[in-house]
Amino acid sequence: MSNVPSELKYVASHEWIRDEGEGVVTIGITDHAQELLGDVVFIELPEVGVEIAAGDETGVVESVKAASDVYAPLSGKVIAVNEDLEEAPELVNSDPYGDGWFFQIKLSDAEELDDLLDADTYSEQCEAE
Amino acid sequence: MNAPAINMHRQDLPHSALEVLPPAEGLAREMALLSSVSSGERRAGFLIWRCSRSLVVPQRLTRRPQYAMAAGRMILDGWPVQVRSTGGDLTPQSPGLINVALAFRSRRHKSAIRDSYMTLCRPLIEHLACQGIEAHCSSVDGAFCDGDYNLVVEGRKLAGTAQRWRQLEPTVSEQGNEFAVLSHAVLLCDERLDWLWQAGNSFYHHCGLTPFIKADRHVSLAQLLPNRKALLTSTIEQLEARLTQYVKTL
Repeated sequence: MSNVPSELKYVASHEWIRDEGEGVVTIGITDHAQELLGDVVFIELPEVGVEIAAGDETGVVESVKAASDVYAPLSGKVIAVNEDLEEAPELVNSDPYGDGWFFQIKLSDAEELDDLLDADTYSEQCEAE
Repeated sequence: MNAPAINMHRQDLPHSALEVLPPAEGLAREMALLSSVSSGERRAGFLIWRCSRSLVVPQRLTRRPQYAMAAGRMILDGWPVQVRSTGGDLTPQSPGLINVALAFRSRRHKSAIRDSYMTLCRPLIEHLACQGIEAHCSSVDGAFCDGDYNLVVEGRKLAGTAQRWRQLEPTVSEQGNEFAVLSHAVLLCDERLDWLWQAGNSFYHHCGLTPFIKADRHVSLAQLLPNRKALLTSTIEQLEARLTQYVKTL
């Protein structure tokens, strides 16, 4: 069973969201997603300063087995990206909820947080698949 | 939504699978096929195409500091480099190879990547069986773009595979957890293979990587069926016929 921390929020496309307060969230892909992809070898991230809308494609994760789009779970402005992933994409496998984070956004509509899945609901979705 | 499964190149584009496409155009058509599934335009589809001589590389290799120089050197040698977005590793392309792309829907369950490779490999294995060739999926040490889902005959690689996932648009999948998958194979059909591996290894060398592709780890369809006339044309026609029926089941 994949690790699904209870303090985080999720979307069905397997990204996690951590509310950092003051309208800032951190985003990455879940343990379930990294397990599925296998060893991650490359990550394309959005540029800092770019405005994104919920559901937008914001990058690509390449693993030894497949490549997959990464989606913006919420709308806002990208204020930081994890530059460590350029040299060490394997952080996504070893620490998906910590050092393997992807990017941070400043929310343009905080009410979108209400649409996210909690850990139990996301776990149920993973089990149902 | 129950969108139809469509053979893309016959019904959407004025394209013959025998036509040789530049790599950028062929790859763009593959991504258009994936988009047509993610947008709900069709439920499944396929594309068969041939590619002009080139090296197709994943995005990660473009991060190598020597990449620009290596790509420039390969152009001078007659091997332009094209970046693709389906992961994997370097793949040499030439008109004697056959590209087969299959797009369909999947959920992201534990064995989804394996299942999606098998969705592509199954009809290819069945086609080969009809030619008296027993193939299976396996990795082959020393093969180009090695992975667990190479098509292998007697320990040698006959085809390489790669995969790209994209979420279905919300209007197509209200739950948001369904994806469109593009599974792609390149089949070594009727080509002088040593040129391909020399070019691939040269690129790795120019990129500061250890060349690892070994010629004896590969086999072409022409080597397996040495007396078959018009092998390339007949293989494409037979795969078209098989996949036209197959996508109706996806």
